Amino acid sequence: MIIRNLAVRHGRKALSNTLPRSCLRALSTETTTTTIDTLEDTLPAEPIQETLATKAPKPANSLIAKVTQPTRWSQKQKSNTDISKIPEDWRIYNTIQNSTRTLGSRVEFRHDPDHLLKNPPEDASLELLMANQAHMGHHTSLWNPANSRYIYGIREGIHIISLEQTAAHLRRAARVVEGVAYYGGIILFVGNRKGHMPIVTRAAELAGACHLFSKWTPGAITNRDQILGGMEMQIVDELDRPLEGFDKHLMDRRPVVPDLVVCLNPLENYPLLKECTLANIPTIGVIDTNADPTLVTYVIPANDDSLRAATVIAGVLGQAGKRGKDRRIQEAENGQVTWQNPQEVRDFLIQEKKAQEAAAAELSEKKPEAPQDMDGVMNAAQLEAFQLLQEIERERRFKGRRGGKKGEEKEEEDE
Amino acid sequence: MPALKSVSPGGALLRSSRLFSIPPPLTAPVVESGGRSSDTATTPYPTHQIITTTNASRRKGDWGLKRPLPLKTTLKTSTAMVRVNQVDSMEQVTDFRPAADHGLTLLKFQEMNIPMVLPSKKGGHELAAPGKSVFEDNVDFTADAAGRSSDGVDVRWKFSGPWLAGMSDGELKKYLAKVVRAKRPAFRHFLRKTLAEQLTENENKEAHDAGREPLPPILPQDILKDELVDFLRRLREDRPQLYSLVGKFLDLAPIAPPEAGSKTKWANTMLGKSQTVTAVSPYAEDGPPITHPSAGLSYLRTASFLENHPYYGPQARHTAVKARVVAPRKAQGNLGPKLGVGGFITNVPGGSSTFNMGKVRGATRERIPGIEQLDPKIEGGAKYYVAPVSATVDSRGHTIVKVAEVDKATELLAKELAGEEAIHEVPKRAGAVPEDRKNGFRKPKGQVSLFGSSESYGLGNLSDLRREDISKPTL
Repeated sequence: MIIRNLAVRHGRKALSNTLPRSCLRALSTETTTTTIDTLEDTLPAEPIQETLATKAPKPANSLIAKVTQPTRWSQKQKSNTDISKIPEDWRIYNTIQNSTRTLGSRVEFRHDPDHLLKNPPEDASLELLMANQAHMGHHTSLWNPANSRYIYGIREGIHIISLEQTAAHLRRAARVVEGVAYYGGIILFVGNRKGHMPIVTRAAELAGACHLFSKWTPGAITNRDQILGGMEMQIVDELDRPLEGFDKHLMDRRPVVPDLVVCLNPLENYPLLKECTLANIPTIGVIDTNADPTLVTYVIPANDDSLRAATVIAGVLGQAGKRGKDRRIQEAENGQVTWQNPQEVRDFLIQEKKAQEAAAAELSEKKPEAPQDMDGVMNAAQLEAFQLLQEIERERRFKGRRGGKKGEEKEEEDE
Repeated sequence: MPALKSVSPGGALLRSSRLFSIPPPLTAPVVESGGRSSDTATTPYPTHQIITTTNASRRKGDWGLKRPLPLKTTLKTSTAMVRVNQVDSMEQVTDFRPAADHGLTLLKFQEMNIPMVLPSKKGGHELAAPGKSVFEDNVDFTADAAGRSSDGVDVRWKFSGPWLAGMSDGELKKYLAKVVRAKRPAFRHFLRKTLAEQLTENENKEAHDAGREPLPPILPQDILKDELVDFLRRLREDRPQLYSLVGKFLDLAPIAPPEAGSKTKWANTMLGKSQTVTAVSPYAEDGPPITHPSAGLSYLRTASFLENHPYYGPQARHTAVKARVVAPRKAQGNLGPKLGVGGFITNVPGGSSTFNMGKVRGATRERIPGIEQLDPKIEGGAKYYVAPVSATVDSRGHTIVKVAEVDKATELLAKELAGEEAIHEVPKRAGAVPEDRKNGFRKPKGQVSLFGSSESYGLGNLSDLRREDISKPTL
């Protein structure tokens, strides 16, 4: 089976390799059948003899050579190219290339289904929204009458969402996202339908936000001490660089909650949106004609079933988040921080400062009272010398080997 | 005239959207029930627009519809065509079906290069002339004013009234009751106008003959009631004129005149007024088509173009098409044997073609086995090469393709193109290597390459250039 298909499989390749060469030969050396024979004979057989003997011309079409050196398929094919021809071949090759380079068509833009994902739009025009199916609502019998203000009409049995409404609401939502990102809030992009994963991860990547593409664990906001208790947290500075020295604070700090939730499919995320309502967290949601617009704070009336529409909406919001984040970082570099420390951090810092001052004061008070020389007790200089000795002894024992300091396993926060 | 309603920018955009440009589905074709009908057979004409997508988007289920279509059903096929029944349904799913049946049929039809022609009165067996194209300027009309040829024949293909000959008794009664009866006063007014025009014309003619000045024209309201009643009585006796007036009033599709044999009888009975109708509408025989007479299948005006064979050059005849015998003569009774050509069922070539020589001689019968009766010995069923000539669309929406017999050379060429037969002996690759090619793949001495030259690649004369270079080496 494989052998029979060999010609079919490799025939094109073989043709494409051999044809141009054979054509060239036909063009250039029409009469040189004999010369090829002589070349074949002269080239590889006995190179030493050839060089010694003063290149006596061998008879053309020598039958003896063919009989003594039959080419078999198993044998390695001898190269019958003349080295002196290589420059000319190269020149002719270039001539052909130069004269045919401008022929044919040029593909300026190749269709790429991931184009919107790779290049998220800054703003969604009406054309872009329509081209990406944002206007297609649900079957007319499935509608929620609360959405009537967003509906333009009925066509093909479905409600058509007004493109102006979608664009306006999307712009408003983008400003909300930009503002939250500007003031350093935590944004959570949620989309847990099939195919939403690349969309929400891309948006979160742009905005420096969190994403969720799997099931929302119920209670992750209202019961977060239990559900997110053991997750790692970070304290960052104004340039989003992690800070050290807050371990004590992080030990007894409650898990964080998002400051804004963007939901691509509010119908399936009712528990999440309910929790956000209870926790006073603003939400942005893509509301199709069958969804309840009161589920979310900021409505984007659009088709929530189409992945392309979701890509456009999430892309616009992600770009808005990126704008806000970039502005925040830029202003922080210029010395203006757009956000303030949370109350807990402020309290912690005050406490820490007080504790440090108290310790310093205690030390300064006790210092004169400390006895300089007591029998059987080392003074400060002696203690220092002793500790140095201990250190040297430990190094000698382990011979440079570090003690197994266990790297803490970092656990990413789920949000 | 009402002012144009202003539309919002989004609304104007939506009007040009792909979703909105999907035409509403046509009414389903009437499939006659009976022993021969099949539920799964391809319907005579498609009712829904076919939607396709690129392969890259198909992998994501993106067909430009409300939601991605399920990959399980849309990714397995190599023909990406669906028809959408509902963009969204009560069950929150897109209701769609694959549409490769009609889509591929259309592709096959267009590959056969068949021109769409007007239906000919000569019947399905006339093959010498392919007929007049439906796209000719003097027959492609829907408007009444322009749709009359010079001899007064109505050549339009669309009428607001029905084609009476195609109506059943019940349909006709319903039509009379629902549509015609309500138009009675309008018809009387129409008659009044016609009579006024006739009388004016007569008076003008008389005045012209007598050398007098023409009188002012008679208006419809000048016609007395008695005159109208007289005219009605006259019309009742003159049935051809009555039919022409009724047909004009109701815009009825034309009906073919009675057969030639009974024509004289008809004329004698009817007041001796001869109504010799020589030219009739092309749709009088079988009724007007339900769409444009081309049905959008092909936009060819004629098949009079040369096909170029890559090896043998321009060909007098088009590439033959392989047809299979769908039903032999024995199984069909007096319907005649049926062929399947590119997805269309056709009659065998008529006249004195080989297909009709089954009863002539034993030797001739041998040439077309399987056409008279089913031959179970033929593997895969009997298949023959035919030449598609023309196609028409009838009043039921069926496409009727006419085929002709092909000569031996055309058939041989088609077979060679399909790889079924070899005209020239070609050395086989798998077998022994020919003597002159034993030493690699070198050309035999003195044979000029058949593949082409440098000129055919748009280059200068490279062979001269090369020889010159050899004489003056650059290195």
